[in-house]
Amino acid sequence: MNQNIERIEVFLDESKEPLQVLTGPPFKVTLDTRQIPDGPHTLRVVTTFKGGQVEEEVIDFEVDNLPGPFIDGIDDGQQVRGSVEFEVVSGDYAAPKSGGGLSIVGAVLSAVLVLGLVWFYFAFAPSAKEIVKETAAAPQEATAHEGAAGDAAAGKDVFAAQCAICHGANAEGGAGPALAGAPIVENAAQFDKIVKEGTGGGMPPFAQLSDKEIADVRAYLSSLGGGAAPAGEEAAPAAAPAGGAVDSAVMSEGEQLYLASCASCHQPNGTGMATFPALAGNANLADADLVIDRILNGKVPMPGFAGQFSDEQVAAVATYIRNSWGNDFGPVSPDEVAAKR
Amino acid sequence: MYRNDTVLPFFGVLFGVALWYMAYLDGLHIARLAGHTPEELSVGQLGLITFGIVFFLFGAIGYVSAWLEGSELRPGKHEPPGGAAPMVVIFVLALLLVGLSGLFVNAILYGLTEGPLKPAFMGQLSAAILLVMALLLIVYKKFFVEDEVLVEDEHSEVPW
Repeated sequence: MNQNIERIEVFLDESKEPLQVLTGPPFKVTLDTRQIPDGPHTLRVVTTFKGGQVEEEVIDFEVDNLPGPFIDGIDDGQQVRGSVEFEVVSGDYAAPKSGGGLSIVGAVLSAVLVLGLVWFYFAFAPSAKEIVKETAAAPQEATAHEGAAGDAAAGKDVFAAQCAICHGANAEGGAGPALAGAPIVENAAQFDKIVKEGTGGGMPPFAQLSDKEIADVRAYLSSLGGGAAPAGEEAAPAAAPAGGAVDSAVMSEGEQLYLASCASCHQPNGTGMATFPALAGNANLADADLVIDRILNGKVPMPGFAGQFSDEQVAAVATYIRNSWGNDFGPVSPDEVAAKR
Repeated sequence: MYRNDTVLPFFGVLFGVALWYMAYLDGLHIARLAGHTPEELSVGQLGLITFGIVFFLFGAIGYVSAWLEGSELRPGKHEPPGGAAPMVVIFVLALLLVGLSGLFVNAILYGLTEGPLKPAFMGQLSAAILLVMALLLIVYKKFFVEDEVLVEDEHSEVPW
């Protein structure tokens, strides 16, 4: 590669005379910068090849042999009193070019401190917790108050389109039971389950309805209250003796007991099976004594539950079946059960 | 020969966005047929979104690569440009990163002590953390890492 080079001339700045002429390897140039003034300079390297071709390369550089004085021991703006000792470092090659820079250790420590504080703030500060609470907390009342959240007006439309053909235009009942003011409407979980899965008997599943639409229907039915006259007239005489409001806690306990001990024969939706009678829409349930007697003593092939259930449990189951699936016969008290034991 | 231009990445991003849009239209169609918007994604939507993500990532990686290395590699050492502005960007991103990490810990503690969190929140937070980390690495590589490109003889005629 070097064989083609005839000579290399090195020029400094605008000088016509070359600083050095190199004709063979090693192509090394020594430049003593102390012989030239501080400041910007240009080095021109002209390579002449054997064929006569010339190539020129220009390199700019800066000489700084005399750095300005550096004051060590007193800082700009520093307050001093008494006798002060400081050193003026001038023209020292070893002197730092600036004394105000942050050391690497200092920079790392500062970064760790700042970032650590930010992290600590976001991890543990009460105000950051508020941020999490507002942005990330799941809405707690979504399931509990779903019924209240429904839009009754929208539910009326859904009801008219999907439900009214069986349950009547005003939910007064028809091929299906009356729903206006029925206890099942207030039991959101069970209502939704029946709508989505059907009763396994007469009512088909309505899986195409969204949770929002079901909630709307529930809100609509809830808004009707017990005021649907036709259903009220029929139910009133039978329900009147029991009277009183049904305790939702008792209903819930009754539901658990019913699902555990009764649903295998009478079915979870009270539709009955084979010789086991349907409880949904069963007018015989209006007679509280009959219901209590059946639960306590059974009737072939149904076993009695007197030995398994306490008075409160029998009352809960009786209350549940008398006020579910469209039934509205009022609660049964433990005292009534105790009287029948 | 080394090509690192943005033609393929452009089409990658374009296909990715198109597939996402198809998944969205599919959702609208399903909602129209069903009469309501189902909570879950359909199999078709899952497939479209998956391939959309693949194409989008392919394109995004291509763009990042083109930005970091240029469309052609040139032999030699390449000094990083450095500078104050990238330093400020890195500092801001670092602050954001530790802030988000702190929030992540806060959310874990909140979930343990106070109550449930929105199901997607932790996922979104960790995704944001990873995104900021990626941006940090990209900016650091671009402005503060020296590059050296070496030239080697080709070992075979098979281009890959």
